[in-house]
Amino acid sequence: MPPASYWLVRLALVHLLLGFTTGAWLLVHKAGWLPALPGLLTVHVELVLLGFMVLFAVAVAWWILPRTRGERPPDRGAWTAGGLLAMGVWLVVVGAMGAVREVQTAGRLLELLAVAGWARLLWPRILIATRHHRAS
Amino acid sequence: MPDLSRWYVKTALAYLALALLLGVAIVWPAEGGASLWQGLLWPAWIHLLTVGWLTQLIFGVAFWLFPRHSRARPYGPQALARVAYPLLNAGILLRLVAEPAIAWTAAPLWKALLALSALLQWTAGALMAGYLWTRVKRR
Repeated sequence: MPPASYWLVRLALVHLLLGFTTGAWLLVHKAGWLPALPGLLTVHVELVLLGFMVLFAVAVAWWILPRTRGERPPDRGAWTAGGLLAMGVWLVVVGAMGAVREVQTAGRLLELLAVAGWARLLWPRILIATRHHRAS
Repeated sequence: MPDLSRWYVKTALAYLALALLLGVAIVWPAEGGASLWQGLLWPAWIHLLTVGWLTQLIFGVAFWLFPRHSRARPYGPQALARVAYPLLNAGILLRLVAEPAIAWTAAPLWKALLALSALLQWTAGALMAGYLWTRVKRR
């Protein structure tokens, strides 16, 4: 795995663990055995859907999609897009826990920017994969 | 594809089918008690899709696809991933029953089963995160 995928997949696994922890808290709260925490549902959804699933998918795609011109592209773009996505997730988490709407909005904007970045990075490699498939 | 991956992926597909069926039941025109049940099943439907289908598919494919440990032991300490499979599925199925039930009855048994479902799913998630961590390798 390239270094960016290595670290981003590991970060996604941390988000998985935190997302499952918040989910378990919510379920036990439903059973009446733990107190409600402010914004916990938003935190849970954000960590699992964006922090784990999306980050995991793009990090694995960065590793596994065909290379452009036979060379693996430099990791710089993946670091930027991955960093923006992680920062977005954490801004939403902090904003939800502190009930600060502006921070959550900033987080969601960063996530949008990050996903646009990932699309720009991965799209040419998807086209190459399609060409390879048609040629075979 | 190793047998454990096949189990994860096939079970994920079964949950997808179940979620689609439940999705139809949730929006089926209904009145009175039936419509109340439809509302109660909504969280179960979302989690069948996100945990039963998506997360389990990710686990199965990652187990198969991630870099091998070694030639001798390609999947490394796979006991963690093997234990996670029954725990995750027991947790999901328990939730499917216990979550709507506690809205219907205040019996402590259902509350205990819901908490147990949370514990099972969390343990499975932690085991699988721990296992996949060992399979993430640099070039």
